[in-house]
Amino acid sequence: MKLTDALSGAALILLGLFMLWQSAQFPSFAGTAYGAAMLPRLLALGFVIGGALLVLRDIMARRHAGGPFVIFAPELRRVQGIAAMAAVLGNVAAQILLGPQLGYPLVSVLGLLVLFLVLRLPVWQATLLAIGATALCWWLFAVLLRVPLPRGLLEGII
Amino acid sequence: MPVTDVLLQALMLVADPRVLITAFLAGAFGMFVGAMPGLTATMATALLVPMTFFMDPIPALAAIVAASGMAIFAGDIPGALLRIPGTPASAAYVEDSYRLAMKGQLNLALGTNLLVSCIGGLFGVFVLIAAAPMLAEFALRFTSYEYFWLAALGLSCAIFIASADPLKAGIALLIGLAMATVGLDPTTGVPRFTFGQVDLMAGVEFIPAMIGLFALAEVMRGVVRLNYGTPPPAMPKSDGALFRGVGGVIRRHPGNIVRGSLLGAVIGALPGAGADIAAWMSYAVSKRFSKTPEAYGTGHVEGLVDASAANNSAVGGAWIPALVFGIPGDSVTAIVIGVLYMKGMNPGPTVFIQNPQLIYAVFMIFILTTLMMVPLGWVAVKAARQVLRVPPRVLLPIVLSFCIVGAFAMTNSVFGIVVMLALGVLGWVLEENGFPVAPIILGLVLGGMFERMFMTSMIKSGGDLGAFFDRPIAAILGAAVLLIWGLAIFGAVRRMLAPKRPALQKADQ
Repeated sequence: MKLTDALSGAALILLGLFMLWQSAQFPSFAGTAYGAAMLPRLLALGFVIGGALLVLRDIMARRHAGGPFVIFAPELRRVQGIAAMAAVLGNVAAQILLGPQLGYPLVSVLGLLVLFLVLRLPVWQATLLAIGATALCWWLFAVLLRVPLPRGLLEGII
Repeated sequence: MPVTDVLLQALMLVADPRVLITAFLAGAFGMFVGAMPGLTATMATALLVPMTFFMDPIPALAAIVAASGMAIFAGDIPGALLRIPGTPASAAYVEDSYRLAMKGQLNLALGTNLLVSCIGGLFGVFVLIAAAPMLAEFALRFTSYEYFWLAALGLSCAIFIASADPLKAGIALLIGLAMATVGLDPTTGVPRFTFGQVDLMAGVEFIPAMIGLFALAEVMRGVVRLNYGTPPPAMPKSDGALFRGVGGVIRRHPGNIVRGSLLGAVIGALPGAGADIAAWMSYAVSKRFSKTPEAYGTGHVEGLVDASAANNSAVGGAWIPALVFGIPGDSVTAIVIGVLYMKGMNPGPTVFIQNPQLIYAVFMIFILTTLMMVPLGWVAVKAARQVLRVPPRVLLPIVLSFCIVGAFAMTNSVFGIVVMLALGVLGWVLEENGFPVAPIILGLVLGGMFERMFMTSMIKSGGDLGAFFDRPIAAILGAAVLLIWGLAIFGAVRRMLAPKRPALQKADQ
């Protein structure tokens, strides 16, 4: 997803203003001009100036050649591309939202299965790979490295 | 402690079978990741870190050194076979590699890549061994003023040396620095930008951020660009023994190897510039001074020699500022610094005094893993045809799976996955819009040191900015920073004011 520099610049200016507003609440050392707010303020100014320069540069470039403000990459204009991206982000989001309740293995197998199917693998291959990849990660991290990956519904079973 | 004792202790640390096995396995992993187009050396390192978290310092560092060095070489393999560089560090000479392969000289191209990468890698290690202890002794006299300017120099280099668009690189660096301000302020203890979240009090978790920026963003890019209808690409045929004719190439081009290695080590040592920039620059220098510049890009081995030596030499060079000052030379050493802090081996000159055996163990690991590159590389080249047949649509979801568990393992909670997701999406959007992501990591790593040193200096001097130039080394470093910025601003203003003749002429027509 390509934004023009003018849009990116505007977003950065907003970010800078937000940081300035937030950092106004940070205290300084008594009797000095510096403290917790100093670096955030300088960075906020940097965002405002950098954003303004991006906007300016874009406007100057657009005097010679116009064009849309947002361009979706050709891959993201296809249903397949959108579905693949959604499946990747969905996998991550599912582990955040459902992982603690349902458990890592279950969410991982189901999520990967969907992703492999979206990427047009045959069902049997997708199933084997989803189970295999989850088992490998589980063995490496939960068994070998003793990372407390959530077991969820499989608590007491694995 | 006598040097022999230190060396003996270091040798004992490295000779541990666990270290050797870890280095071997990580090297094989690095070879695999580097050889797969779209997966980078930084990604190999980021995916390894969650596992190194549970290891002692030496095996952890051995894993990172082995994986990153091997991945840089392995990137050459798909370059020669498919005309697709495995990592950005191999992009400079991909045309020459591929055309050599098409002429029936595949093994000459890959054999040269492998042996010259090993020589370049060793050169970089020896520069590291020679330069780091000397610099560390010098750096022992540094105070907060010098460290402040060093951090400022590192941040400035990242903007002006390592990027085609300094404005966007500068903004990316500001994003990294802004992320470094999240959490409790180091001087006043005030929570900043935490929005009431306890998880954010300790700041943005570095490793999940790295996994997001360098691995998740790459997976996102990879899955949307998958081309399902294309059959597997044809690969050029192999032509006998891997190293046949390579000795002759090395004997004909010793100057290219030394020049490429030297340039690679120096560029690697510059903050923000890594193996990819080293390869591009040494290829350009090689072409500039060659007697046959017209042959470059047509299957000529000379530029390949320079650039192969440079990109592996840069791996060792990048560790110089990382070990001595805690300033990363590239994205991989940015991760290394995070690992060093996790292991209580805080980078800086004092580690050379307090734990010299650890430093010498790192040097030994470098030599060992660079030599290991030859047999592992040989196997990788022989197995490449099969490995490259693994379709990305199988590989990318597996990488995603490792990203998720790796990010979780760093915090033992889903918070790590949240950080990874946020940074992955941010990295993807930024890269799609021409913002480089490496400066974000540099800002995140150096932000804390930059602010801490500034505040310490301000408190010591009672707010007098002149004190930042009182000490001679601080003054020189400060002048260098101001010079870099002055030249950059001067150049930008001159470009802005210069009349755009070609455009006007075109408009007239």
